[in-house]
Amino acid sequence: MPGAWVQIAVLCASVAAPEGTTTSSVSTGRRALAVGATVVPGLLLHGSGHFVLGDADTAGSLLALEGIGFGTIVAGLAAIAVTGASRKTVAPLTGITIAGAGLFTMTFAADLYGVLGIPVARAQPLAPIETSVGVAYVSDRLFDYGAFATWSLDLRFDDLRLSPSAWVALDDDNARLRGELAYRLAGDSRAAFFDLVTALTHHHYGSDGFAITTGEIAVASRIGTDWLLPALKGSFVEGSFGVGLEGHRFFDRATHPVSLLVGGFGFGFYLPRGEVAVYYDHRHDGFAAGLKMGGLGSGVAGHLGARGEWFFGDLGLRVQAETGSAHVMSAALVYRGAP
Amino acid sequence: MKRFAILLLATGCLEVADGRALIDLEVGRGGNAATSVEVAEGLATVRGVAGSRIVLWANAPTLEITLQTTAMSSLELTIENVLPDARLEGEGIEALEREVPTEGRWRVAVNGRSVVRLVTDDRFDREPWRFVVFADVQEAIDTVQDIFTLIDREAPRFALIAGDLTEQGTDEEFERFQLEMKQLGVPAYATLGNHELGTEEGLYQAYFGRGSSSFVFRGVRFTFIDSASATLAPLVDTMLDDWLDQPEPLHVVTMHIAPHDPTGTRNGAFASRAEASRLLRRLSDGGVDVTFYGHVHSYYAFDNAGIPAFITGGGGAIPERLDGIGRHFLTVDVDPRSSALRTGLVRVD
Repeated sequence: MPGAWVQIAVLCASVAAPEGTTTSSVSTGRRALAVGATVVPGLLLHGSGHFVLGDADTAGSLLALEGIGFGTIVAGLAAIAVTGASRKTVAPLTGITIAGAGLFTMTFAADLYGVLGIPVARAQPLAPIETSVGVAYVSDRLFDYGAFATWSLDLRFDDLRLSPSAWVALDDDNARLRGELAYRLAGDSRAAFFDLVTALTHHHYGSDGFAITTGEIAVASRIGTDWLLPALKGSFVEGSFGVGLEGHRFFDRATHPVSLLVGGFGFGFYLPRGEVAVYYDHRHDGFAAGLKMGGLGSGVAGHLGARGEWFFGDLGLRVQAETGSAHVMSAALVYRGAP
Repeated sequence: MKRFAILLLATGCLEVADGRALIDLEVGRGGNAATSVEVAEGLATVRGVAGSRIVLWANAPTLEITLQTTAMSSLELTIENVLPDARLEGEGIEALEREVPTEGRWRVAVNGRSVVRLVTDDRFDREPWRFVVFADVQEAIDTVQDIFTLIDREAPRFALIAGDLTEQGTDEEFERFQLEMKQLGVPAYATLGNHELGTEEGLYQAYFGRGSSSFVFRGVRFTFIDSASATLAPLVDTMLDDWLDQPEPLHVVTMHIAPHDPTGTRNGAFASRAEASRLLRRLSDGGVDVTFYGHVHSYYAFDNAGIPAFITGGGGAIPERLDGIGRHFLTVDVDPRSSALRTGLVRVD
């Protein structure tokens, strides 16, 4: 099997565009071939798409970053195994593993983005006030809820952001209320920032007889991919990491605490009127929670998601889909005040 | 590559435990053209029916077994993993000599259909008694004899295994584990762990029985829950309702992956925190007295939804470092008359 991949890689090399070809001037056929190369052999050799497109520098960088990401995953998992997932070291080691997984997967996504030839767009401006109302549907076989009404608000004062939000079930006694207070440590736009984020979440499962209240602190960042790879202008990567403490309250019974690792990574790109992104979120609380996987990895992974938003003047549309222990879909109308 | 493909397919699938729950329902039944056997509530798995010989592996101390033949015949019934003093009740039964204390052999005269019961004299007693719990042997099968020796020294009535008996859940590993169990002086009743999911679905059940089951012995209800995929199949969720409804002085629940990991940042727990708390609320409402878990290779004593909880993953698999625990198992002394329950930690190394 590895031999087949080598043959495909050699084939890709043989059809690579001549040196000096710019990625914006390639033929449709070659671009289609490059898109195919992002999958085979690109699933293993990230950057194959750019290589076929004639951008060997970006291809080489993506391959090198993939290697670093893979190495980080292996190192992280090995360290977790050697320490027997010790309570004293597991949180930072998991963080390292997630970072490696982020680098590994984002190089694949970046390769695909680069060869698709998507017109470069810029980030939308930050608005001092942004609010949304919408609906959501949660498909979870174990809980009665399904339809939700959603609301959110972002208020920005200089480097501070206050973001309350609510999801209230329309067909069950269930509500998730969350308040975020963030401080911008660096960056002054939607395109590049480094934030310190604190949050308090209360999730009431009334008909199931319990509630979860979570306090958390994390750092969250976004940066344009062109910071490292100029050919990928218009795309961005995200990352976050932090910890939380949950109180699981059983109303008339006991309450017990459980710690929570929060964090994840994402890759997205800007559209002329918005942006789209795909992401991994390590959270195991909330509606999507962790992925249900058979085998040895049971319970460890968080959930996957995709989101997008489009603005038409002051109004916009925001959609999101997540899959973990449940499937979650949401859509909301967004209003933003003028910057 | 095939494993990678299976992993990809499994990713995001919300029904990872459903297949096993359905396989559970088939446990306890077997036979051929002339002979069939059925064990009530699937509390034993049929290891083989060949000619007039039937071999069962018990996953509970008492069993109700229905034997059927097309004509009058004498069947040789072997039940492995039984209490040394267990006897078979019914008509036309002749006890045969035991080669291993936990392997009972009987000759049963069957005319068409016959119901026999595996029983012990003390099954309804309310006197204090002891059992032990361990988990996570995995690759340490070559040293599990140390644990078995110490278990016998504690003189329990039987042992509970909270999953991860093997490293990969292969035929060879299951056979080896059952072979080693013959060195243990008492039976061990088990549920499966995530390491038993490695190969063929249903293989664990073929060797050890249901992942989710429940039985009563000496005033204590014992319930095993298959949480090997960090979730419960809805079918198991429904069966649990029935088990929680049964009034017994004490109720012990054992599963492999705990709903909540006391070190939450590790996520050695259910995939969904909400599902975990939903289950714990139901266990609490159902009056469960204690929960035992494996999966994490250490010892933790904590509280979940007001229920005392213990993780005892000290069967020999790579231990959690820096915790000062190492290989161990738990002894549990129960007194059904006062609904009292006391655990003790026994270190092996």
